[in-house]
Order: sequence, then structure tokens, then C-alpha cells
Amino acid sequence: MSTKAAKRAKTAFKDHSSVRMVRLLLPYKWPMMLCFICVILASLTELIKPYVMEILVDDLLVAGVEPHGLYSFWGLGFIYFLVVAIGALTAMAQVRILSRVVQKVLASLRKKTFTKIMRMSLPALDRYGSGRLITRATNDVEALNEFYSDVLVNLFRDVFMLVGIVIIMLSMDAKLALVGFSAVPLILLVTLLVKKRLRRNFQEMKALIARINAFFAENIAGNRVIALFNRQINKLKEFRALNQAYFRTTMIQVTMNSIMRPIMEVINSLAIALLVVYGFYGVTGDWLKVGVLYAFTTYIKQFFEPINDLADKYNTVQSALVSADRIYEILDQEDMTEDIMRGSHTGHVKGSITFDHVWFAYQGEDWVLRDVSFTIQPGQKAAFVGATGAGKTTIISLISKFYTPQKGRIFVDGVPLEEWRTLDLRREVSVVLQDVFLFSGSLADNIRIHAPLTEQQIQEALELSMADAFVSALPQGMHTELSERGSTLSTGQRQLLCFARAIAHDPAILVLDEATAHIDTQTEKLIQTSILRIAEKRTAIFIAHRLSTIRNCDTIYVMQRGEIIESGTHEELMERKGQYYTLIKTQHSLVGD
Amino acid sequence: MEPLRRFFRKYGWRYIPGVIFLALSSWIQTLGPMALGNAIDLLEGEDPQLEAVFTQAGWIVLIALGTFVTRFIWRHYIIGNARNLEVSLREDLFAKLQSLPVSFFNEHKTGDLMAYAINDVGAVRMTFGPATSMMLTGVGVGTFTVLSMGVAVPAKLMIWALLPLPVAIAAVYFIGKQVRRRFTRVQELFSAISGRIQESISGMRTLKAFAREEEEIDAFAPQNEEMQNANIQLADVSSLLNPIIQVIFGISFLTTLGLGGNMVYRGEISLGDFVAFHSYLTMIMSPIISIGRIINLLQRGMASYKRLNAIFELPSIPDFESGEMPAQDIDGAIQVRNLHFSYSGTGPEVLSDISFTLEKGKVLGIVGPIGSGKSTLISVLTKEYPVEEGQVFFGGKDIRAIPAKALRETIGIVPQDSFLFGCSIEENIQFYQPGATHEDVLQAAHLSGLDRDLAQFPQGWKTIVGERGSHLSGGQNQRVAIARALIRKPSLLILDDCLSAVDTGTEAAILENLKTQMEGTTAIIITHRLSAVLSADEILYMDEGRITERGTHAQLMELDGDYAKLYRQQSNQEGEEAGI
Repeated sequence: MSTKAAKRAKTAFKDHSSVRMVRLLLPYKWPMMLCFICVILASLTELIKPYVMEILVDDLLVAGVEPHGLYSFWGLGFIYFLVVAIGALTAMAQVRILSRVVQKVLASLRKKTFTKIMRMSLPALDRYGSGRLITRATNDVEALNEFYSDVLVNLFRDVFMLVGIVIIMLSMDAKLALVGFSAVPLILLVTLLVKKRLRRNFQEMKALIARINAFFAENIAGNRVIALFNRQINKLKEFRALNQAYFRTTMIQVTMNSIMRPIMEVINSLAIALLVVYGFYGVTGDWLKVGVLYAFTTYIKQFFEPINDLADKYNTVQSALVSADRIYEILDQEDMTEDIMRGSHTGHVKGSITFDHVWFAYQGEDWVLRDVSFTIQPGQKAAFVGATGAGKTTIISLISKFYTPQKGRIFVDGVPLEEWRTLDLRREVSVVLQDVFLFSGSLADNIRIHAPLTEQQIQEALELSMADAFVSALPQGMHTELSERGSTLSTGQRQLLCFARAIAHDPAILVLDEATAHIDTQTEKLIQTSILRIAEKRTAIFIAHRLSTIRNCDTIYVMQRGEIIESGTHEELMERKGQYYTLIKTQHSLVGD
Repeated sequence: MEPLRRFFRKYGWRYIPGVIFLALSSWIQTLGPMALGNAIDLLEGEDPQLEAVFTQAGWIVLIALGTFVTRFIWRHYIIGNARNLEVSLREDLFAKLQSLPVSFFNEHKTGDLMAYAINDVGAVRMTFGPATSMMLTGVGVGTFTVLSMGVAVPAKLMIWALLPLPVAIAAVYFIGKQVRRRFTRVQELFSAISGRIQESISGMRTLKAFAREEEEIDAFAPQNEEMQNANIQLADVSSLLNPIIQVIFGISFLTTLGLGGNMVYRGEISLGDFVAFHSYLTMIMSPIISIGRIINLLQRGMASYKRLNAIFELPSIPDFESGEMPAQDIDGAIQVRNLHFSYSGTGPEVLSDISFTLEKGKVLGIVGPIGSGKSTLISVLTKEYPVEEGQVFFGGKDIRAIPAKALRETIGIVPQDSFLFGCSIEENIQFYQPGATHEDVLQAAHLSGLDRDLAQFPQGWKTIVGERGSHLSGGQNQRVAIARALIRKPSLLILDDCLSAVDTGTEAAILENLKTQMEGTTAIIITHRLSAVLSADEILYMDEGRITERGTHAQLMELDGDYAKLYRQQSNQEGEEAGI
């Protein structure tokens, strides 16, 4: 996709990610409303508690009003308890309601992201790289979890508390309130100075720990090479340097945190000391009650907490916003996905393939295929040979509609490729790739890949691909669980499984892309026989460096720098004494005398 | 000695000033409410004096400053030391892993080992830093608060007010346990779901090739929902903790107000004492809430410490530390005499009765089917696995007497899995010879045929190869690995089936380069393609851990055994194509 298109996709949605994050909650407006009512109630109880104390101190203790009914020490104590209990209940209700909403929102976001990624076209996948996409669907979604469940409601509560305290303090005693607030500029100053530095350091720390982890992982994975080349000392030194750099940032972090938190309390105490001194004039001047003064010391403490919190939450908000931006960057891209149900032509593929003056480039004018034309009839066997990078594998990707050629057309069964429904087409084209991917799960599931295949069918495929020999030797046979990318199997065995997988899906077109590179000669020989058997009923395309595998093909296409330079049967090409002949000669001279 | 003990012997003293200042800090903190109480008493009393009030306000500020200073100091010693411990443990772990034999890495996944470096080291840090200080603060503040309470009010009020606290502690303990259990589950599910997403995305090409991505999306749903429910269950139980503590403390406050208020009313205690007591009760709440967290951190730290120690206690490679031996002592013929080898020492033999001599400057080819023991033989020759005495000799010296380090200094090996590091091509080639010049790199790249692809590298030799060489093709990876082995001009070169992803033309060119430019280098070539070993001075055909046939190519052809059969299979195909 061009950068222009990317820009267009971005500008189409003007809303800031934060707005969109809040909007995700809209479908749950009733629970969210309830949640906010709980927050307000909980905050109110916090504000009422000091007030109850004030009444108790001023009316009952200082003014000496005769206690009666609820207006007594036990009565007020009971009210105090009631307020606490209501606060506790509403706080609990709030967490429970919110967690339900948030987890639903997150699960749906995770699903949406995963779905979007799974529907991406190959060019988009190439552009983003799987590593980044994995982070989007896992860590980035998780960063939002923290934002929603920790920050969002607390943010509301903090703001509500701040406003509430300001109002209640001002209404109880405006002058005293202003004295209390005099500490605010000091707090803001400290926060701005230290927190900024702290945040920068924290980012540095995170970056370093990420590098340390990557370095560690690489050294574990490459331990054999490091040992064989005696590079332990060098690697240890490199590691030590990284580790020390990290240590320095952590010590900065420790020091700054040691200043930050306690200094807030110093400021807090300063404000209280000011209140006490000011209170002296108030009490002696008889315009201030002691209980109000005591309530104020509590309010001041409560007032500092949200400010502190808000500063702390800033980090979470920041990283959540970054994550949200990244997730939306993916969700917003319109031209990144492909709809495999698109295409009017459905049904089975018979197997003829025609390329009509096809030009293709992955990027700009870097032509990987130049004016390629050929026709393969149903049931024919065709081969593409040529050096690495000649464009052989690209042809396969085009047939499967993973990429669209810039010029020229491609037909399958005489129908233009763009009219074919992608789903039907891909299910009929099985490719055995160079790069074998196995999923964790049972061996049988790896052959099925979600298709409804019976064990019988799988067994047949295993037998045809010669994989049966080693599979039946496994303790659980085809039900054996495979681990981390099939690491318990040898490269050759994995390739055989891949082969079985392709056969099991009974494709009309079978493509073998260097499928036998890691298989030893004896096994390969066996497979060759079965390939011929399987290929009888279908169109087969071979891509090979090793020319031995293809001499029986109906047509051999020799490719060079994206062009077909020769084609014909093995005999015809040998007779022609062209590029193919030279290739064969080189290979032969390596083996024969 | 184990690393943790070593660390504490060296830095453990830091906990002494740490604990002293922490105790001081807790004590000073508890003075706060008392000063406030005094101030209130002054204000409420008859004819308050400004100076006296000023003094109390001064105390309030001084107490805050004292807390600030002492806390800064104890944090520096305790929390700072924990960071130091983290860094030092991680380094020890790194060094320890380097000293472990290759078999250890075969048995452990990279991800599992990473968990030691990240989670376990982190958990130990949390135990010796935050958890320790939280625990000490809790004990300190708790003790001093209760003592101060005792000074401020009569025992009767204190006992009644503190009566519900054991219930609070029990609640924290039991709810905390539930929270931990559900939290572990959430974490497990998170890593499971991350693993799944990772796998689905990595395998997307395969899924797309079979047009099964929609089914994969559907299969994701139950796991996603499970994760959602586990998170809700966690929130349900963790939402209980604070409210329950609040309510239990609410009972304490009820007693304080009812009982204490009456006491003030009757003049048994002063208003200031009452206010101070109320503040103390608030102060004692947070250590109690943190009990659950402390227990959790301690448990995790202990478990992690045990796991780490299990690694530290593993035996290192015997001669890992030593390593000096003159190269000429190692240089010379390689002799293997009746070598028998099994991985576990008692298990089935992977190599049986292997004998051969490789003269200096000669080339040995090894061929045979998958699993015949070829790569194992290489592992034995490079001392990745130990062998019995009297079986393998380098330059007449028993391999057991040669330190692995010294031995490997003389060997250039290209392993089957080429494994490149995530730096530039040039840096990967320089790996074996740090400080090698650019010319050396060019020379090695030429020998390995890598320079043919130079045009394809966007930044030339400075192109970053990506994690494990993922930005390069398989053939390019292999050739970088060859260049890496050649740059030092090793006296023994080992090629372990390292040309499988290189096309035949390039393979021929590389072998030709090696023949002409590396004249006099002893070489062992393992391969499936016989073309690579035709001109070897001796070829061993291995099957099921034994040498079944040996000789030059001509001799083996004459023998007309498995080698000849293999050769005919390969050359027939090529030969027929060539029209011969």
C-alpha cells in the first residue's frame, strides 16, 4: 500500500484514540452509569467521614451539647460505621460491575484485532512483520486492560474527590481552605520537575531491560555456536555492559522514588502545620472551631492522595494511549485485509492455469516477473527451474491470489483469477513449502488444519507421503502432540508431514516448492514414486534447484531474472543446448566424472 | 559457593543501616499524630499561647523532615541493594548458563530459560527489596503505633478498639490466598493465549494457503472467553479485600467514637489524645492491608530462589575455566580409536566402534542416512560431549587432556543450524575473529560465495540479518556461517551439511574456492550430496552409528556397497538429465 493510501486511511478517522477508547464503553452505558453512581457514593462516604468527626468534636465535646439519641457518641459512631459500610459496599460493587464491562470490551477488542490480523493479505503481513502483529494482539491489548480497570474509574473518582474536597472545605471555612490550598503550587512544581525526569528514566529502563532480555534469549538459542567459537568471555562482557547500564537507571529510579513520595508527605505536613498556626488565630478569635480544624487535616491528606495518584496514573495513560494508537492503526486499515469469500466464480477447480503477459513487483518497479506467459493443462506436470531469486516461488503466490500482478492476467480453468472466489481457489491449490510450519497440537490436527478429515483419510495421506513409517513408530501415532513448531521432529520428518498435509486436502493443483531439500536420497526416491502416483489425477507444479526431480515433467520452464527464457520437455531442452543444458552440465560435473 | 550467599557476604551489611533507619523512620512517623493531638489540646484549652502552638507546628514539620531523611536512607540501602542483587544474580545466571554443557540446552526450551532470567530474578529482587521493607515497616509502624496508643489512651479503649484487628488479619490472609490463586490462573491463561496468537500469526501463511483462517478465528473464541471469565473471577475476589478491611476497621472506629467520645466527655482523656488515637487507628490500617501482598511476594521469591539455585548447582563443564594450551600441541593428525559413545553413558550407543585417522591437511568426507551419528561424531570431536580416555587424539594428545577452549580455538565449524546473531552481516563474520579488518571479512565472504549476493543486501555488509538471520535466505544464512568459520583460517575446518540450502552452482564455486584457497587445511565434510566429497582423501559411510564402508570415492565405487548405490541414485538422476 502506498503511503498516500495510509494517510487517507488515517485521516478518515479523526477521533483521538482516547475518545475511541471511551466510546468502546458506550454499549454498556447502563452498567457504566451504575458504576459511576457507585463511585460517587463511595467518594461521598469518604467526604462524610471527617464531617462526622467534626460534629462529634465541635458539638458534643467542645460546645458540650447534651448527647441524645443518634446525636450521641455511640449514635455518631454508628453513623460513622454506616458510612464506612456503604462506602465499602459501593466500592466493591463498582469494581465488580466495571470488571465485567471492561473484560467484555477487552475480549471483543482482542477478538477484533486477532480477526483483523488473520484476515490480512500477505502483502500487509509482509509489511507489518509477524512480531509486531503479535505484540498488537497480546501486549497492547493488555496495556489497555490496566487503563480501563485501574485508571479510568480511579481517574473519575480522583477528580470527583478533588472537586468534592475543594467544595466542602470552602463551604466549611473559606479562609482556612485557602491556607490549605497554598501547598498546591508546591506540589505541582515537584510533580512537574521530578515526574518528568522519572518518566524519561523509566522509559530508558524499559528499553534496556528489553535489550537485556533479547540478548539473553539470543545467547541461549545460540549457545552452541558461542561455545564452539569460544566466545563466552566476549558475550559475558557485552552482557555485563548492558546489565550495568540497566543498574544505573534502576538506581536513578530508586533515588527519585525515595525523594518523590516522602516529599509529598513533607508538603502535606507543611500544610497541616500552617493550618495549626492559622487555627490559633481562628480559635482565639472565636471564628474557628477545633473540630473543623481537625476535619481539615484529614481533608488535606485526602486532597493530596488524588493528586499523587493522578501523577502516577499518567504513565499508565500514556502507555495505554500508545497501545491504543497501535491497535487502531491496524483496525483502521481498510485495504489491508482480503475477503476470501469475494469472487463470483465458485466451485471446483479442474486445473488449467494460464499466465498472460504477467508483470509483477513486490515493490515499485523492482520487477520479479517480467512478461511471463504460459499455459498448463489440467493434469499436466510442469516444472520451474532457475537460480534463487528467479521468480519461481512468486508464480505460485500469484496463482493462490496472495498477490495481484501489476500487468497482465491470470486464468484458472479459463476464468480470470479475480472472478474466482479466493476460498475455493486456495482450497484447491496445495503448496508444500520450503519453510515448514507445524502448529502445536496433535499430529493429526496438523494435517487437518481445521478441515473435516477422517482418520482414515489422514492415514492414507501419511502412507502416500511416506510419513507413515516414522509416525507409526511414535508412541501415540498420529495422535502424538507436537511441541513448539514441531521441534521434536527432524527437519526431514517435518517436511514429510507437510507433504502429507498437502495430499490430505486432495487439491486439484499440487505445488512442490523445493519440498525435498532436507530429505535424504533414499526417502526422496520413495517419495518420487508416490508423487507420480498422486500427481496422476491433478495438475502438479514442481519448483526445484535439484534438477533430478523434474525430468519427467510435461513442460519445464527455465527462469532467469523473472523471465521465462526456455521451455519444453527435458529432451527438447537438452537438444537445444541452452541455459537448461548448461545447468544440467554443471550439476552433473559435480557428481559424475 | 552459591551466588546469593556470595552476594550477602559482600553486600549483606547494607541491611544493617537499612534496618536501623527503617526503624527510626517508623518511630518518627508515629510521632506525627501525637504532635497534632498536642496542638489541638493547646487550641482547645484555656488561653492558648502562640509560641506553644508554633512549637507544635514546628514539630509537625520536623517530624515530616525526619521521616523524609530516614526513609531516603533506608530505601537507598534496602531497595537499592535489591536492585544490585537483581543485576548481580542475572549476570551470575548468564555466566552459569555459558558454563553448562550442550545437553542442558537440548533439554530446556529457550522460553523456559528466559523465565529464570526475567521472572525468577525479578521475584528474588522483590523479596529482598520491597517485600522485606514492607514487612519491616509493617512491624515497625505497627509496634510503635500500638505503643503510642498505649501512651495516649487508657488500655480499655485500646483493647476494645483493636479487638477486631485479628479478624482483619485473617481476612487478608484468606482472601489474599484466593486472589493469588486466581491471579496465577489469569497469568497462565494470558501466556497460553499469547502463545496461541503468536502461533496463529507465525503460521498465517500456512493457514492462508489452506484458506482456513476463518476456522482459526473461530477456534480462538473459547480461549478468549475463558480469559475474560478468569479476569472477572479475579476481580470478584480481589474486590472483597479492601471493603472487608474497611468494614472491620469501621467497627474499631465505632468503638473509638462511642467509647472514646464518652471518655473525653467524662474528662478521662483529653480531646488531643482522642484525635491522636483516631489517627493511629488510620495508620495501622495500611500495614494490615499489605500483609497479603507481603506473603505473596515472599512465597514467590522463595520458590524462584529455589529454582535459580537448582540451576546454579548444576555441574559446569569440567575444564570450563582453564583453557590455555599452545595451538601447535593440538595441531596435527586426528586419531579416533574404537570410539563408543552414548549420550547418557548407559543408554543405547549412538556411535559404535569408530576408528579413523585424519592426517594433517587431508580431507575427510562423512556420508550416510539421517540419524546415522554423523553430527554426534562432530560433537565428540569438538568436546561438546565427553568421551572415555584413549579414544580420541589430536596431534597424539588425548582429547580429555586438551581444554575445550584451546581445542576450539583451532577449529572452524559450520554447524547444521547456522545460527546468526541479530547484528550486521559483517559483525556476524567477525564473530570468530573480533577485530578482523574489513579486508578479512571481504576475503571470507568471497571464499564462502557470499559476495555473489552483495547486491541483494540493502546496506551491503552492514545489513542487519534480523533475529536468527531471518532477513536472509536459507542459503545466505549458510554462507555467512561459512565465512564466519573461515575468517580465522582454522587448522581444522568442519562443514556439517551446511550447503543444503545453496543451489548447485554456488555449491560448486564454494567447494572450488575452499580447495584452492584453503590448501593445507584439515577438513571434515558431512553431506547428503555426494558431489561435495568426491575428491576427499577418505570417505566414511556411516549407518546406525557404525562405519560400514570406507575408502576413497574410487575404492568405494569398486566395493559396490551402499555408497555406490547412493552415488548411482544421485548420479543417475543427474546423468540421465545430462543425456549420458
